Amino acid sequence: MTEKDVGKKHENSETHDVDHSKLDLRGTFMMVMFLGGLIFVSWFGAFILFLGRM
Amino acid sequence: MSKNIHPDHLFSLNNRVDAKDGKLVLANMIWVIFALFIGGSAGMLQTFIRAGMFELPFGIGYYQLLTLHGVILALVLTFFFIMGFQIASLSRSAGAFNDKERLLGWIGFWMMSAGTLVAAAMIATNEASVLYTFYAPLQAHAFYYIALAVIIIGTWFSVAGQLMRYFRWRKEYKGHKTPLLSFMASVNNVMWLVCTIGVSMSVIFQYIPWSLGIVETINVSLSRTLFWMFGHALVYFWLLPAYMSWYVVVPKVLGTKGFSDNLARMSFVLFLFFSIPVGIHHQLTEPGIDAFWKGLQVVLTFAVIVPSLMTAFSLFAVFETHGRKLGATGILDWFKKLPWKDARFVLPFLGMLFFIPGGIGGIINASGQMNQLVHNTIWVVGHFHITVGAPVILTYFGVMMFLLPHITGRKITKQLNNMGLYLGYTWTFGMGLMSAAMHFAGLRGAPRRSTFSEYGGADIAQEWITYQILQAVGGTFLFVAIVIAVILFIQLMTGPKTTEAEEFPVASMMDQSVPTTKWVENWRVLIIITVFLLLIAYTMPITQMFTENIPGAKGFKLW
Repeated sequence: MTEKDVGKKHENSETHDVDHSKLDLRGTFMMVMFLGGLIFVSWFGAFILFLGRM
Repeated sequence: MSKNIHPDHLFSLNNRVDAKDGKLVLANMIWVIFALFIGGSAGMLQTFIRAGMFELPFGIGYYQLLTLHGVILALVLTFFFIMGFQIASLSRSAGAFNDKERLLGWIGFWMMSAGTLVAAAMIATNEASVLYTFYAPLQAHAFYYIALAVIIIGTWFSVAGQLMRYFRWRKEYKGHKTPLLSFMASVNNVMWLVCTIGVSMSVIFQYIPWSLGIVETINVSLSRTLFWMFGHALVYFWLLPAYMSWYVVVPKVLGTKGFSDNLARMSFVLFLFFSIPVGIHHQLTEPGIDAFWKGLQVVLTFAVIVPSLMTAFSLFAVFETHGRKLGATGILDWFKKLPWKDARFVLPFLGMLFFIPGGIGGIINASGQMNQLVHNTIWVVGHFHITVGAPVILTYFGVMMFLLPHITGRKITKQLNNMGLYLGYTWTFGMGLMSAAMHFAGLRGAPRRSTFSEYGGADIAQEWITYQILQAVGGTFLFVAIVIAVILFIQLMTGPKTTEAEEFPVASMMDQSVPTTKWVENWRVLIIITVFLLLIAYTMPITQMFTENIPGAKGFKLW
């Protein structure tokens, strides 16, 4: 198999789409929620510090 | 050959950075390595000075060293890296540059090099200890400002060549969506052209005549506002190349696809819209700007959270999909399946971790009231280091791991890969320790931009000393990391040649064949919206600076 053929085979697999709705993204959901929570808690932590120093 | 890569062959393994383009990329990268060593060494010395452990010899001033550190890392290193990486990305994803486009790249490179050398000479002779922000009324030698203007104009030449390369592909393959990596580089370039107009006008029409003595005074408010119109967008100019790597390179390193082409493009477009009309959040404590405009720009700043979280979601989704493909079934066990021994993955991944506290700190800084809590404290320096100094730089390192051997026809050996891992861990430990100490000291009121002082024995200043020593320890680890980096990068360029060069990984996306949303690639619409938002955010504040009879300031040289 020449380098060109390998490239062609590789291209075919690269252009085959994946259906997003069939992905299992439970962990992603957890991580994004965790990130949101962390932002929320940190912001209020700094805000409480601000209020304490007013 | 300067042909465009056919849309059907965008992911062919035969696509490489063209050899002539590679030389231009390499020239830029050599500046990066040099700047890293000089700027990093200056940084380590600063941490020692601030901890009271070292005094500068030969009459070198603290602010002289601080200016060197800031200019050479925040401007020189980043500008050369970005130009080099974007040229490589366009050459790899759209096709080789033609002679005219490459010539523009070289003109840009030589202008940036000349500007850097002149600015360095001004700093070395203590004629420009005004830091990289060069706030008036501190006044440097005119050559310093001229040199900065030449550097910026140099980037414009390079950017012009890159945009011409992108539009040449677009013209031939009308109706096709452009290669994602090329599109991303072009968004960053357009953002750069728009955001640098203000600071260039300020340098050319305010600073240079003022420093030459042609005019006696300078409008400080105006100069600072024009600086920050550029200064915050600069942060995204640094960051977007890192995002290019996260969206396009990292999935390929994992051996999987990126999450979504459409999502990635939308995220970059939102960065284009919201990176520039937000600079006044750096001026929240300054007089002369109406509270309403400060509030508006704070809201616009928060809009940047949206594409940042889109990016986070997209990356988690890629990691999880990859892990599931390798057999992960639990909620988070896919983390274990990531390639923890591949430096091309570990370096940017460590950078991503830093971006979480970095982003949170940014939201705190931009919140009107809380800005007062941290303003002008060393917290801000800590924030700067865990954003630019970690996610951005670690990702740049990750890119250099494959880009240097790709261009020079070499491979990453096992030993060099291990060095890359050591680099990542040492940098992470050093930067983590140093920036955490900066954040905590800042919350206790320790000022930024100040050399060692006991502040007349004040009790509060005693609390800062432990943190300053921790910063010095962190700075030492960072210096060790820099030595590893320099040796690694030299070896990646000069090791034994191989028949097959290291791959420049470019992933396709899960929705690769889905057409992109039309307006996202309509540059006229994108530029109109960008300029429109800029005009809304800045027209009134800047108009007020001309109409409210603000007294100008004479120049001061306090060093």
